[in-house]
Amino acid sequence: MITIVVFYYLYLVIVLFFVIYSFFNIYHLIRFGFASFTNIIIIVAYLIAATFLIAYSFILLNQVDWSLPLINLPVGQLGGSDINI
Amino acid sequence: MISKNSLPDQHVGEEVVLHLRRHWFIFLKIFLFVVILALIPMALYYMISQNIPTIIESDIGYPLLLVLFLSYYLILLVAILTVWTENYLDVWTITTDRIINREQNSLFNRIVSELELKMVQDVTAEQKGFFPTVFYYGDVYIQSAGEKERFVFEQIPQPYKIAKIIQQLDEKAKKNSPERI
Repeated sequence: MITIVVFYYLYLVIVLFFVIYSFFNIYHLIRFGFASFTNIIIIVAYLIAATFLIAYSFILLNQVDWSLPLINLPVGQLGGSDINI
Repeated sequence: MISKNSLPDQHVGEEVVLHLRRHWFIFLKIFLFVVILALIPMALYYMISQNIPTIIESDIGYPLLLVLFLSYYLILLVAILTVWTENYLDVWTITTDRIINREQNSLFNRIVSELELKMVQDVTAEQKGFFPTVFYYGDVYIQSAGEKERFVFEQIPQPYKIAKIIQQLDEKAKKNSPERI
């Protein structure tokens, strides 16, 4: 039975992509950017925003029942039981 | 991080005159564009809740929408940082001896080139358009006798003043140079 947890796994893949890409960006800013107030503020602000967004997203996603089937076809009228996929 | 006063392969007696970046208005335009993009999911959610509320109330529709919107915001956030990185790391440094051009063309594509001031042949400043005129930013083109024939300082503040500074430094460098060009 395929449940809607596939959407959750898809989101985890996107979070992984986000973390990797963010790492490369911050690496470039630290390696090639000047040691200036602006550069440091941008890095810190981004890390705060990213942490907040990911934490808030998982709070929202944890409220969902991921065990629900993806497709639920009622075929009782045909004399059989429901088909869950 | 790099110190503002340090230079690659610094010559004896060489000092930094200016570090140039794109004008702040360029970053503001990017920021405003991102704010508009961030409002799209909210507008979509409102339209769906008003016109097709069954999608939000369904057991599959709500989680799917949630994942889509959250993914959109994550991708938008990392896209903002990428655009910032690519623009912020474009730096043009004018020293007493040379011009150093550091360009971040994309995340994994960085070019650093330099031009001796005594190799400068022509400097042109250009300000084209409504916003460049109002906010006083533009491009400076530097024609050289070097391997890379043209350097471009893109969307920098006070282009005419910068062009004049380069011309003055160029004259001084040629005057102090023992070689005749």
